[in-house]
Amino acid sequence: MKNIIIPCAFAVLLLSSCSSAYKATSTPDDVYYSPAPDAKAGAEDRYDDYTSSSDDNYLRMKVRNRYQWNGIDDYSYWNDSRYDFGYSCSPSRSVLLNPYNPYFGFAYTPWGYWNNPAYTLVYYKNPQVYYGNTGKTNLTAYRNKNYNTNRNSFGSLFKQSFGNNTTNNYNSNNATRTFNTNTTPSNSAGGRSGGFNSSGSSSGTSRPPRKG
Amino acid sequence: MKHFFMVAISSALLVTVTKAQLPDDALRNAWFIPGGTARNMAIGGAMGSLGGDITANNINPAGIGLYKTKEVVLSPGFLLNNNKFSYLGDDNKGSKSAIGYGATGIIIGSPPSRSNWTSSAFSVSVNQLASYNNHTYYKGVNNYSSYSEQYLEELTRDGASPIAAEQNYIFGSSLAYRTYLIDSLNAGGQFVGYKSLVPIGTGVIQERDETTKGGYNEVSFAFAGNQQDKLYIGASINIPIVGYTRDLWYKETDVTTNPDNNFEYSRFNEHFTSNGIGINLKLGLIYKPTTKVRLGFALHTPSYIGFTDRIRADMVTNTENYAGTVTSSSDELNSGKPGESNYSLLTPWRAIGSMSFVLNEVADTRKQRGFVTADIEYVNYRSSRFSTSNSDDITGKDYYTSLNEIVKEYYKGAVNFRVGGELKFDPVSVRIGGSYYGSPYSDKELKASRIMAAAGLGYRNHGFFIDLTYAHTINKDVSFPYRLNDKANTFATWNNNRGNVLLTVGFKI
Repeated sequence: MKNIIIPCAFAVLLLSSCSSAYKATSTPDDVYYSPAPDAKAGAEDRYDDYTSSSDDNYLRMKVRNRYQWNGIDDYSYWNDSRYDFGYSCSPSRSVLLNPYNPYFGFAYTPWGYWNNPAYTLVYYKNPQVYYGNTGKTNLTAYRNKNYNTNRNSFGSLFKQSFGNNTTNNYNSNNATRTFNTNTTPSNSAGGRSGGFNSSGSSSGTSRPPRKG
Repeated sequence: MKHFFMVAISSALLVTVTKAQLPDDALRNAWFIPGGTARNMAIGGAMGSLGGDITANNINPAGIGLYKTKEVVLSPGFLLNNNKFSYLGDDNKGSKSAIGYGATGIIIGSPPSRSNWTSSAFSVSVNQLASYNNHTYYKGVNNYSSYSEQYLEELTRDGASPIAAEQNYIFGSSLAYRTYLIDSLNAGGQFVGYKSLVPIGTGVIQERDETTKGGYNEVSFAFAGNQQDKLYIGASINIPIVGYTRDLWYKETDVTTNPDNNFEYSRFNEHFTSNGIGINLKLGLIYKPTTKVRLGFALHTPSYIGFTDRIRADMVTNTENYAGTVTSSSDELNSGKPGESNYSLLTPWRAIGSMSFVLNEVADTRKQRGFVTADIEYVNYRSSRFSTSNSDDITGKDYYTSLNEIVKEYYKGAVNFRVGGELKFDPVSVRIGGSYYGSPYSDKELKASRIMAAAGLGYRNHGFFIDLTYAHTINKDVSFPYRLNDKANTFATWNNNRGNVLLTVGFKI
């Protein structure tokens, strides 16, 4: 509990210290009405960061300081043909600058098809071998709608009394199940009913002997 | 040559297993009650047409489109489970508390633009849609059936030889066979099947104890647009992150004090983990035919989640003079490693229709009066689908095909209702709400539902808001300690009362 409370309290304090245009007023309730940012008086500068045009940003930057960021603004540097080995050598700097080059189609990426993280499907899994067969009794039991409760309907009680498979013997003290007449017991039975893979070997061990 | 190679590997590994994914795993990832922010929970989760709350990411992403402001939200919570089980006439009670959380994230509303869209908004949030933290226990005296019979059924129906019984079912039947809970049955010198050592006729005390941890969390990236403050269209890409841990023990104890009836007790322990990550898409729209009325519609695609499950199991059985106390574990039969399963689950799709009435939709918060809102939701639980992650896994495909057939038979589509309202006396708000989630089971004899009633308070002023909600949920469900094919199944009825306190703190930025 303490582990959660402390980070939450810290986050609340941190966020509450953030400047908000609404500190001196009521908090807008967006369920009812969400005020547009430019509707508030004196808020002209608050929305500079909304400027979406990269051209505007570029012009503002250059007006503030003509020489700042000149290094990355150098056309000849970024387009120096001596270091541009074309699209066959990836990643090409020109491709990095313009990965969605129309000449190479929509799907082209500078990483190439096999190395693109969006396309790579590397499947590191050892070969698996499954063994055996199963009747999936854990699943088929879900089809049994015969219930043993005090709340059962008359129909269920009727089914309980007369609807059971004759291969079980639950009236005796110990329950038993016998094979169907045409079943030959197999060493390969079971093994996998869809779920868990065993990577070890159990063939070397056997159950302990009975007493006496 | 390839065939020979595969056979050779088969012979060497003798890959063994019998425990697998079940229909219950599908339901665990689909049957959720409302969560989100404290405000959303207080109004019963009826957020479909309302919008203006970060929970919209997980219900109807069009609701984010109402934002023209920016907001950061945190929602820590606490829950307390009270469980009541009725099993074979015995009543059992228990409780378990846990920490949780609701919708937490950020919303960035854009200003009006000159485009066709009046405004737009983007949101990133993380939300816990389900908390699995719980502890349940029940017991009862049974003189009709035993959990050992599930192993008898499995071995006889599979046609398993004693060697197969010993080696090929290391998370269940092999443990029972190795500890002499069950043994081979001979008649007239012939091996004819298997027998249980449990003296069912005189009865056994059956106990089941389960501790579960983890949650179903969803990271959402939502975007919505607003046209003329009349129509809002939104979509969210969501990443479900699921972590589930279950520690289970099940025990059967002889009710008699007879030391010579070849059975004193048997206890099965299982440690199971399931971790998954996936993706889904939620689409929605909200339309305002008048300033007071909002209509909403949302469609949730199925989540495609890749899971890795791991399991360890062991058993100890005391058969007195028959074989004494014998233990066996999957670890010793699997080189100390857990069983591992990689598979994919497609969760059910759902559709939500909603309507709300908002009183005084005006900028002046002092004149905002309140709202009433309602959602109706359809979830097709029978549409969950499992598949193997390995395309070469023929037996896995066969198992999941059968599992999907059972899911279609065992579950059904269900209709859920959510309703709530708020009265606002700026800067304070009072809220009340409730929801009803119908049974996912197709069999009417299995009674199940989830009913939530909630109430909350809110305060909004000076650029922040704080909401506090108490939600009380009554979950009715059933629990089968084991299932049999050829005898009536015994189940416990489960009444879970969950109290959930959720606090949401938000800031306009």
